[in-house]
Amino acid sequence: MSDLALGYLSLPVLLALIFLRMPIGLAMALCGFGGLWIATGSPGIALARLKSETYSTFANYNLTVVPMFLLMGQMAALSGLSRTLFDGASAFLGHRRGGLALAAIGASAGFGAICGSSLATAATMGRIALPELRRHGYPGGLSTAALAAGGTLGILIPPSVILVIYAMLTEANVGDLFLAALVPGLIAAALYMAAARAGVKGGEGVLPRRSLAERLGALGRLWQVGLLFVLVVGGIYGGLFTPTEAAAVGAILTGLFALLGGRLTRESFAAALKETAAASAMIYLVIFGAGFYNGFLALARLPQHLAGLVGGAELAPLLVLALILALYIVLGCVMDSLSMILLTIPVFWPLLLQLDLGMDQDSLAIWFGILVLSVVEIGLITPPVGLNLFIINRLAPDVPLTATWRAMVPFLTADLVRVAILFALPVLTLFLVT
Amino acid sequence: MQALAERTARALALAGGALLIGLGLLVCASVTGRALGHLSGAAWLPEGLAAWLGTFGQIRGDYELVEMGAAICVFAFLPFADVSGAHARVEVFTERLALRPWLERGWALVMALALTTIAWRLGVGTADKLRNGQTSFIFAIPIWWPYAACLVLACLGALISWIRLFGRAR
Repeated sequence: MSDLALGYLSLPVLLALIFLRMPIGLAMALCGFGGLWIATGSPGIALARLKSETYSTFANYNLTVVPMFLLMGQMAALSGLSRTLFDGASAFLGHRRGGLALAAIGASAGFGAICGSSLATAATMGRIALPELRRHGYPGGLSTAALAAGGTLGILIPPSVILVIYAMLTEANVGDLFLAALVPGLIAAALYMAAARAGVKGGEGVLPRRSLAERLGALGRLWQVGLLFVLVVGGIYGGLFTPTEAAAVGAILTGLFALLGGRLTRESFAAALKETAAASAMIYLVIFGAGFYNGFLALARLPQHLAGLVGGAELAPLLVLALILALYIVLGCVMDSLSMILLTIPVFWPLLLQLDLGMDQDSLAIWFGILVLSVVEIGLITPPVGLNLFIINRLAPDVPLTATWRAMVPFLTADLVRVAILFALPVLTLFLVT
Repeated sequence: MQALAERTARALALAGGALLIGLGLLVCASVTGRALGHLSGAAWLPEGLAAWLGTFGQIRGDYELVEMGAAICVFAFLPFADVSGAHARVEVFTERLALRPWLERGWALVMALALTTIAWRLGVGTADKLRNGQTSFIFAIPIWWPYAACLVLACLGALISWIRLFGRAR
């Protein structure tokens, strides 16, 4: 059998293993190892690679940004900034119809500006905002759906762990990607608010309207969030820091805010470290497995062959891009976003470079990155395995999962509308960067 | 035995977390040093102060320490990810499968085998680095040091996975 055929054959095998619940990173490493073994006729080369590949994958300066951002998110959850954000957003939006749901989404967006992970954003904001929403008579489904959707703003609004990984795979500039994600992230927040408004029946409690002085006071209390965002995202873009430095400074500073806020206990601190450890190890295992597997695919020349195939088919470039995005939405229903990106970008990115989408490579990398980010994040809030839904539902055990799913529909519509807008108008993503 | 293995995994995760914070502090110190050093170029500063600030600067080669530390962190984190069931999986298709407990044991076995292979190969890699005497570029730290630290953690991780596998089999 030719190497190429072997490469194509490995795909269904890999998917079968993954769907049989083998840890995804392990499945990819195993398929890469097995493929290399069969292709070269002996395990020698695969075993030789293993001598240094684990260490060199993990000892990567640029990748250190991932555990640092995860640590920053955990520290932000301990800092009490989530409460300040929710109070601040309520001061501006609480008197409106459905105002607390809008405030929950606004606060999630604010938390997303200092946290690079969706799950941490959903868990943290859910803990603060869910009890308030329920206390004011918001329907259970709407409350959980708004917070699950709001959680995705954690990765949509920079900083974003997914964009860091994407940048590593396509050699795009992290600072540019972060800046480009800003407007799409704000559009997402606005559309989610519209979706929440559509779900409000009336009869929910409304807060009294606040005076301008009260609002400015609430805004002033958010200086820590503003400082962290400007320092981390602005620092990376302005060339003041490398992304790793910015994440480290952000993590330490957020930890300091938590410490000074007097909310840090030994237990909560240990729990935060353990969460960071588990999430980091999970990501590193997938990165290692994907690296090994993609190494085998490259040896089998599968990405080149597929790119040639698609290029030869003379499909409209935009159609190819749309099909790729649709594939992410389908895969996202069962697979987590990071694994999808690590598995597919090394195959799809060379393919896209073959197509003429009417922009230079740097712009394409950024536009495609933001589009991919937008579609993979949808997977977090689609049944049956949207992780955000589970996290929020664990916080509100009295709300049946089916009620959340039903209330999710307007938010998913908002997502699709946003992807369509970003797809149709690349300028929305690119105007800040170029 | 089982409980001891899980406690070890938790302790390793905490130790790795402490190391990660240490790396964060190192980077902060380096960045602060660089900022102070840059400040010394400002014309409006009194001369003495500028000269004093000029003695500050980035920790040269801080990235080497960060890289070595990061690898050690990851190897310290890996056993805990397994113990806490944090590894990314696709849950949908096996949810109602009667075979599922057996599948889980099977994958735990594969994981233990993989971790053992990784530890074995890392051991060979460490021996290589020890023999060829490779050192890091700036601090001239022998590369086999971080390799050996990772090797110890990888062996512990493999051991923990076998102990948990046999605990589950009984």
